[in-house]
Amino acid sequence: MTWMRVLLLLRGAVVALEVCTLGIILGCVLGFCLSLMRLSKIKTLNMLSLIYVELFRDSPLLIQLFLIFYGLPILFKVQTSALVVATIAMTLNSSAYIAEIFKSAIGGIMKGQWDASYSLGLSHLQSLRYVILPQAFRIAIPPLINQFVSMLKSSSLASIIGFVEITKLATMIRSRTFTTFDVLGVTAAIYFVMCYGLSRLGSYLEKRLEIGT
Amino acid sequence: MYIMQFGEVLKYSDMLLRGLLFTLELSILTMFFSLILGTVIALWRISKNKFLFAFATAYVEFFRNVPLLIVIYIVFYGTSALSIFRFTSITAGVIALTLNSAAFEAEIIRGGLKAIAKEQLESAQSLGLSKFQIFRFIAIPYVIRIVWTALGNQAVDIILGSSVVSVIAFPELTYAGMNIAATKDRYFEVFVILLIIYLTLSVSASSILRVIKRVFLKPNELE
Repeated sequence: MTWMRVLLLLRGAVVALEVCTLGIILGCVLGFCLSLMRLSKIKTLNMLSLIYVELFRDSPLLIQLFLIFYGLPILFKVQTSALVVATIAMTLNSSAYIAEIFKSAIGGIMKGQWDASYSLGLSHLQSLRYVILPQAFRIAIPPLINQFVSMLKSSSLASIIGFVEITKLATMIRSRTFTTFDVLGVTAAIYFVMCYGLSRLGSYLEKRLEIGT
Repeated sequence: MYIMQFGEVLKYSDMLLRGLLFTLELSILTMFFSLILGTVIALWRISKNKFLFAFATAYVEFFRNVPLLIVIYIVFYGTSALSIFRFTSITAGVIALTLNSAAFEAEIIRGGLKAIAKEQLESAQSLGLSKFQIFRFIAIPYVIRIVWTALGNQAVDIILGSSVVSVIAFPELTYAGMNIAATKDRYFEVFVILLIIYLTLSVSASSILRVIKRVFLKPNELE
């Protein structure tokens, strides 16, 4: 295990971080829409959002990756790279979980807050925009960080469809050098440092934010 | 123009069925072993013995922060590279999934154990119940009730995660599907079918667990 290879793995870790960052940003946008659909009073929107969430949460991510990988060229006639497939899969999958995070964050705001903002003469949308959402986003930050961590871990599955990130690099180095244990050990260590650090940050923020509520 | 041909794939339904049985076996074995290991780790996590506590904490943190796929690779390739053991893909799959989900279950069970109120145990003691009786009739039913839903989610995660062991050629559902897809060059159809099967599996597993909770577990006031 040379330093060059460690650097290569670190480069792969950066790639994984990049895809997950993109995935969580897009996932937040989509997940936010889904959570509003879930909380709306229109039955059809409600059902659609529920079906979407259950579909992605009750099936293996690996199967979702394969479906997108093989489905995009067939259904939409687009030839794409593994990077695009991985980003789409991460986005779609995480948005289902993020929708639940936002739903419970918005639902967790006390009813009195709504009543108070109505009594100030704010409309429903205004109350949502200026009173409820700023608080809900704050509540949602720690679970969003946890979601990012679990995304980072599951992004390793994208290596199976040929996306070159840290896990793929590890398997490539492994098959070329036969230094299995070193490579896998270093890879596990890199994942551990990233995920452990982030989840500690998450629980720190959780404690900090609790003070205000 | 690509024409979907699900019939072509469904001709291999016996292979899919065999894969499905493997998935079920793998999931049930993993649930069984990880529940035992998870309980032990949880007890160590709340034990006063510093060494056991440190070991259990390290265990939980390691397996919660390293991807399942890497754990599978380490168990399958890593151990044979060190030439200690040489696991078959089936053994390696069960071990990797068990090690992984035991870490998550340990945290759930630890939470359940910590939720038992001291007053509850004291009042049981003052009623003259023996230690074993308290454990058997007060603590266990109480903890089971608390952890049931979270462990149920974990059980669904095990079913979904079991698809990952296909990478080491464990002959479960996903691997069977990959083989069929490769022979017939019908990847999309195969994975649509697999998606439906996995959805059915996980939805029915969580429904069964919910029914068991409603029918057999008495509610307690803290929920």
